[in-house]
Amino acid sequence: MSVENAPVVDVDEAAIPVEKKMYYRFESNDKKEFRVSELAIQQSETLNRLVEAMGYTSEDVENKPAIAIENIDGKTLKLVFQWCEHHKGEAIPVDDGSVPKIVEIPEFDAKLMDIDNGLLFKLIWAADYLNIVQLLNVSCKKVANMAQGKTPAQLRRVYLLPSDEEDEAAKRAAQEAQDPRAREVEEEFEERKRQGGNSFF
Amino acid sequence: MSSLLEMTDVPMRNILEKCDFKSVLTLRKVCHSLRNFIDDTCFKTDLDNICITIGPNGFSVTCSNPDPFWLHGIEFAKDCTSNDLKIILKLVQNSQLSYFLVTTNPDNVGGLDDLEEILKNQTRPLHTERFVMEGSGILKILPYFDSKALKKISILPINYGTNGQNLVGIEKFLELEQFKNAMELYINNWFVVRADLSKFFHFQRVRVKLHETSLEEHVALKEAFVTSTHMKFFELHSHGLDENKLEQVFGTPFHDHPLGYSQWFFEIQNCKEHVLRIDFAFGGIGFRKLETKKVPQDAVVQR
Repeated sequence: MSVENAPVVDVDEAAIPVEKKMYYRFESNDKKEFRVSELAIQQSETLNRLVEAMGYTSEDVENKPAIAIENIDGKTLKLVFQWCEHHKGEAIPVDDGSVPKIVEIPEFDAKLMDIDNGLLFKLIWAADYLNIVQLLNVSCKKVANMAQGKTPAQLRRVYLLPSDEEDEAAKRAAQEAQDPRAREVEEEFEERKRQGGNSFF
Repeated sequence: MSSLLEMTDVPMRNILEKCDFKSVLTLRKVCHSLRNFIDDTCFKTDLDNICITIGPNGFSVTCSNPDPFWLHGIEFAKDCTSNDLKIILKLVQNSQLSYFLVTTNPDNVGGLDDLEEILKNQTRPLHTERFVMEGSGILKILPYFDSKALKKISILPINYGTNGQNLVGIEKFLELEQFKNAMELYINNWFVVRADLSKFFHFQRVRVKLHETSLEEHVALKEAFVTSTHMKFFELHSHGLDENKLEQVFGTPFHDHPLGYSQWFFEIQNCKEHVLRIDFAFGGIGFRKLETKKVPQDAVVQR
């Protein structure tokens, strides 16, 4: 995707040339490109360090390839950058170890996170990966709120969790995928049991 | 990402810390993976108060977060086994509690020993500001509280005990870091404590009934109070307290109290805003830091 066609996230275009703000270009793993203001990037410790280390000039930003974020898809990254633009310039909370942590979800964040749970989990994962402390806090708070007053069966549905049986089956499948011999050995063992033996040897 | 289980540890812990305690216990029941994560991970909960009742059929646990008054807390477990209690306390050990109460039913069998065993095997001491328990059983439990966090200790009467009973093991209690570091101590007057009065001078507030105290000890207490910056309240009951004897050391009392208390007022060193008021009535003596403006007009404040 060209720079001209890249989706611009929550950017006040009129303000750009006046203050000569720097807008960095990022690319998701599905090749969606985003232009994000320098101030918004500061909400992400990971990205902020990255752009500082790169030391791009305004020309570099336009002429060099967009910075690839290979672990996050465009749909999720759009939400991340919308959040960063909305909260740019705000202080980043510091964990002082106090409990309970009181986290209020602002109206903008609540609307932004009015998404299906799968995407919400991706947003949390992205907030953690990009080290966006307050986005991680509000998104985790939203997920925590979902648990209130639910039964285990309801929680299983809400959080898309497997039952113990499904969990075990998934683990077995993962183990087998890692070691194809495991299934053979298990089958051999079952066969011997059926034949009345209790030893491999 | 299709499931909460695919979340990495940091956000997972973040989510659990923002869940209310009841939700955390429910989440443990959802699947093995989540249960293992909750049991193996160190995270803080929103718990503020916890009350454990050791009953004849097991343990009952009531908890609450800081909002409601603790009496209206949620009963998480009724007649649960020591294994269940172990799980709850494991989660509790990461919380900063305001209040921890243990009560015992006389028909319980070995419940206190089980509780001690659980606490002994915890990886960290319990963190509470106030600990309340009945009788000498407190000695089994108190060492497992964080002595830096514990500020207030209350010892309640045993519900099947009698008035005037000795607090067994007081010598060990006085040597515990938790006792030495606490700021407030309330021992119910049903208990008689055999210890030196001076052992209690480090508290800001204290209520205790001693077996016997001498006139010299009362003078020492008064001296400690007028030279101290931390002492605020000291209520003492003991055998042999006599107004005539107190007059010998504190001078003529001031009588203006509607309940007939004898009172003495003393200046506190380097403090103009407060004085020491000593009240004597019904065999008990109270030492209290009082605002100077509250001293009755006719009363004499001694040096």
